[in-house]
Amino acid sequence: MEIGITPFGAFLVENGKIVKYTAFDDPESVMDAVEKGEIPEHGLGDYPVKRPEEVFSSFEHLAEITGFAATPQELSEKLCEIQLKRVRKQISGKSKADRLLIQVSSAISDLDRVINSLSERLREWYTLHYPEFAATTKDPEKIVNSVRKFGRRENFPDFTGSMGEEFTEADEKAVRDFAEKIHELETLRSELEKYLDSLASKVIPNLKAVAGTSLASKLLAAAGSLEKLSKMPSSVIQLLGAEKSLFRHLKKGTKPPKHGIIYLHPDVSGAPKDLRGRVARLLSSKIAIAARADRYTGENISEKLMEEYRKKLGEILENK
Amino acid sequence: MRFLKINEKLPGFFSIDGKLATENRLKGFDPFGDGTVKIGGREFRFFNPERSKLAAAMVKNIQIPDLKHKTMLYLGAAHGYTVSHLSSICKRIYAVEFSERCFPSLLRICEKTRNIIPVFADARLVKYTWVENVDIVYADLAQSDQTEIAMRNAAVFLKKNGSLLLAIKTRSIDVTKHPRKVCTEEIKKLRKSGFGVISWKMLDPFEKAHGFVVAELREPSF
Repeated sequence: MEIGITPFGAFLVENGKIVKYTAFDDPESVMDAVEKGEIPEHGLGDYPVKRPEEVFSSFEHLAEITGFAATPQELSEKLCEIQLKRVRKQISGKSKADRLLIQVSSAISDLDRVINSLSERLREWYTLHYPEFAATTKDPEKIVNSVRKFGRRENFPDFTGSMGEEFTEADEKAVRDFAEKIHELETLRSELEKYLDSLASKVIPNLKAVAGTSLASKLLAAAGSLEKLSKMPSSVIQLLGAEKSLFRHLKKGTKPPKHGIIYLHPDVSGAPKDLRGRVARLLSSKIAIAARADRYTGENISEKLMEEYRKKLGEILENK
Repeated sequence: MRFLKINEKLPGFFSIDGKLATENRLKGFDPFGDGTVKIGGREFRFFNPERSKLAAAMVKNIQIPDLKHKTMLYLGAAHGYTVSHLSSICKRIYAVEFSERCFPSLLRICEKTRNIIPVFADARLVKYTWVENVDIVYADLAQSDQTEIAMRNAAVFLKKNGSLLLAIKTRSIDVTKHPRKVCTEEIKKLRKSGFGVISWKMLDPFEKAHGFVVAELREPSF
């Protein structure tokens, strides 16, 4: 004798026949229980729960008997309706904090790109008017700020003369407005960065301590979610972002990559070239542990992690 | 007026002017902008082989079993393109998908068609055991163990003599091997586990490095 459990009823099968059944009036909670591996209360006795053919080969007849759905079409519609409700609940119940973090971090990366190309544009533009300043100043932010502040070249305190073109008032206004907008983007960027930092302290305290806010959120973005990152082996984390190089290695036998975006960490990029691989390996192993702590226990183990990390880092750097 | 020729390829699938189409059960239903045509009071929606591996398989003349009025377990329903077409042919489809991003679109289609049952779950864990046994298991998964996942699901849900339709994304299995070779290896696995392979082909030029296998469950041995 065995029992089959469907969303609308439990059925007791003996010798290929259904001998007894209980109708369920709350299919949703039955489905929840089944998916958790639990057995819902059915009152049919202590028999093993399996998938007897008599029950599972088709729901249509049984749904009719239990009064769940009178026709095959109604059965489809009812199951569809229940699942629409359940799926919506399941999705809205998932934590989205890590995805917020990923969006903010990606927004900052996007801003970086945009600010960069706009600053370069401003330099080219202003070079027409005052090449002695715009073409020789290295820091793009300085150009932005000077143009905002002074507008035309005659207002620069150290202006002595220029071979550039005269700007009319309209010319000056246009370039000044442009610089102003770049400055606004820069302000926005630094505000987002502060916001990201506070998010990271709440959502991924361990990752933040080990990798830093910027790298941690980039790793999250590359992995897709905290859940995914926490399930990755450290060797995969080490090479996140180096997929192209890794697959080239696998396909054509070129040299394997030593690090992916983890290179952004000062300990990796600052290490002597021949030790970078080892530092990357160490760092990614700690990042893997930190991600798991953030995802599953929520405990802050960053001090212990960092202590171990520094000790091993010291060993690597000394033994060169 | 254009001259349209209807030609039923397989119950439920039509060829109109040489293009694959399905008949719309719901008039005006065109969630993906495929384009519809009305012929003699019936409405047909084009089924694009560039967007659906099943459509590509049909265009490439892979032998697809009769799907009319069948029950189906569809693993990897994604945004619901293929499922939306199948809904007018199959009786009932359990559509499993694990990516949240896909659900807004998938749920919208389920709401309209009423015979697609969405399931938000990881196909590899097979936890949705409240689902009934089905005539067809269709698997379109981008996982390195996609064949194993499909077989595990078939072992639980597929009726005896039921069919397994498997889209093989060879790039998820091994990028270093030749796509065709990956497919033959996956097919070997199917044969070992009691499946009879009826028909299979690569899906070029519609999908790069994808294979499509139609198999029948004969004697389960896994």
